[in-house]
Amino acid sequence: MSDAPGPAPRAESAPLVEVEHLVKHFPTRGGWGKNREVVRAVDGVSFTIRRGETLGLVGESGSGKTTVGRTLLRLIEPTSGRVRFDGVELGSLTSGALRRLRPRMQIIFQDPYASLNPRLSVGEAIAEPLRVHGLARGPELERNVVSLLDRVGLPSSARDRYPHEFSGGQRQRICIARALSVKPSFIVCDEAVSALDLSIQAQVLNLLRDLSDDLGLTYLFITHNLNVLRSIADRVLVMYLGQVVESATVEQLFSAPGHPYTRALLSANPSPDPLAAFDPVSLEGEIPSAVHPPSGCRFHTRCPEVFEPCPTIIPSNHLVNREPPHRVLCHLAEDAA
Amino acid sequence: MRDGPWAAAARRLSRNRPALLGAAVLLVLSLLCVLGPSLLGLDAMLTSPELRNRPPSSEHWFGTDAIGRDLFARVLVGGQASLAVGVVATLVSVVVGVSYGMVAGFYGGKLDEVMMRFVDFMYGLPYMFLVILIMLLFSETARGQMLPVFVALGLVQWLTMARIVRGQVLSLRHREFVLAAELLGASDLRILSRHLLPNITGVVIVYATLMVPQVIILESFLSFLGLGVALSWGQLVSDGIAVVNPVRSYWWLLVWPGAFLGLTLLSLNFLGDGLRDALDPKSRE
Repeated sequence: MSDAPGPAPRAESAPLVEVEHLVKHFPTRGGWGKNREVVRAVDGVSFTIRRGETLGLVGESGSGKTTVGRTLLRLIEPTSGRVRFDGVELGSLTSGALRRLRPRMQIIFQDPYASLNPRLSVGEAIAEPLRVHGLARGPELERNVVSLLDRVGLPSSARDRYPHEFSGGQRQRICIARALSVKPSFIVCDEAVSALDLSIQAQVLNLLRDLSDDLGLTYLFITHNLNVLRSIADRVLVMYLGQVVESATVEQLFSAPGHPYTRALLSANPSPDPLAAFDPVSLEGEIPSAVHPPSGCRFHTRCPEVFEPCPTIIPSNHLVNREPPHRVLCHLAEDAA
Repeated sequence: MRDGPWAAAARRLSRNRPALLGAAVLLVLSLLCVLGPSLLGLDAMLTSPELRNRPPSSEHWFGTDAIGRDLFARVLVGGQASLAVGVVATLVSVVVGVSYGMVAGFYGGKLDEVMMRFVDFMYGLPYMFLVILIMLLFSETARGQMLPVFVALGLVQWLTMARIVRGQVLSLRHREFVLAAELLGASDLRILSRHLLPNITGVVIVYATLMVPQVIILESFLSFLGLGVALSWGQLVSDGIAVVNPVRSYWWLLVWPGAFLGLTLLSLNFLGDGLRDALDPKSRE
């Protein structure tokens, strides 16, 4: 889907990240004599993220949301498409230039156990990026490490300890401190709170929100949990099988979901209110294979509202609301007047 | 508890009695072999025709050989050669195998494909043939020296190490902490040395410890073929077997070098098992 430059005044909220028709196909390992097939993990995704904004990216496992995050950061080379960061086209950079730009974009992973090198003490882990980029040395380095630990709510004594001595939530805080050490402007949170207990989840979300307010950080928040999105995101993209099927503000998405898939996700989302009616629209089966995505609308095999054109005709993007823009990729959606 | 992963491993090792015993035996044996001959004023080459094939006595603790050389001295000096071959050839294979495996596993793709097919090809060659070929490449004068044996055994043994290291790196390569280091702007060299190497060191140490006895056995085998070091445990055992006959048994010529060789191999294996349990506690099941 194409995201035309919004009518918002460019000067104060020029996009920090612009993604144009991002595609990532992974070749499957074909044996001898077998044709190599491709997994269409991401199939033409476009969006922009404004400075200071938190964009949520939601979808089931296998919808390609993690791949979007990693291709965006060039941890994976995209098959095609363009990513501009602060006006710089990432694909055109040499590896050295990319390495110099990298501190500005960071990531926080889902698994707090795999995200830290078990052989490095916490202090070393946080100091390493500062050393690599020559940002601080000696006593100044020590001070920086302590203030970063303090920033994420950990005592300075954590410096000399090793990752295995910390809980999941504490490790996630360490990862956040490490990401902050290089003073990034953009952070991809890839299911950053999904592995944590509910109460810890809320604490880490609060921390992330505070950091965004204080430091003006921009987030791409990848999650499958709609309640998390509701509490942190400004706008939301809903992904299904490598495509964005709906993009809206959080209010629009929760009050007037436009795509049948979004409605199914919302109805399956347990509300924190125990008295609220829980009547899920059930989706049948698993997400289809991204090697052979369904024809027409990719969602037609599971859609409760499927009708004639769906299996054959590829739906186009409808702008169901102009301001703020709300787009839906569905035959049932209608453009706003 | 405020200690790193290494301290925890040391603690586990210190509770493992067979491993500690193995380490102690190795220490005593090595000290005896290295310092013994000079401290006790022994000469492994001094022949005395009147003392041929004497059994152990207070004069010559381990007896004497066919041309009257003191067997105790020969076992100690031969031990220097066997231990040196074991350690040096293992070090050669660790250095070559670890760097080769890390590069292949880290960069992956076509490079990995080509590098590992080469390893497969080397595996396919009969290694004895290879070792004999390398030994023959050295000049006549180098025969019986240690250097050709180091080179030949090191070049054969690195293959397994390269495979193990490549597998380890491959599994760590896409772990989140490595991706994070990449995103934080760390260079390839830094990622390899700070993030990957420390996490495979445990496995490398374990396999290296278990490789030393293998190399010592290989050298003994080469000695049987007359291609080993001129004076080593393998050579002494080989000489001892040559004089075993139904009429007269010079048992001490076979038993002493054999016992030293066996004791060393056993201790190394105990130590290696202990290290594996200490460094990689999950592998015990």
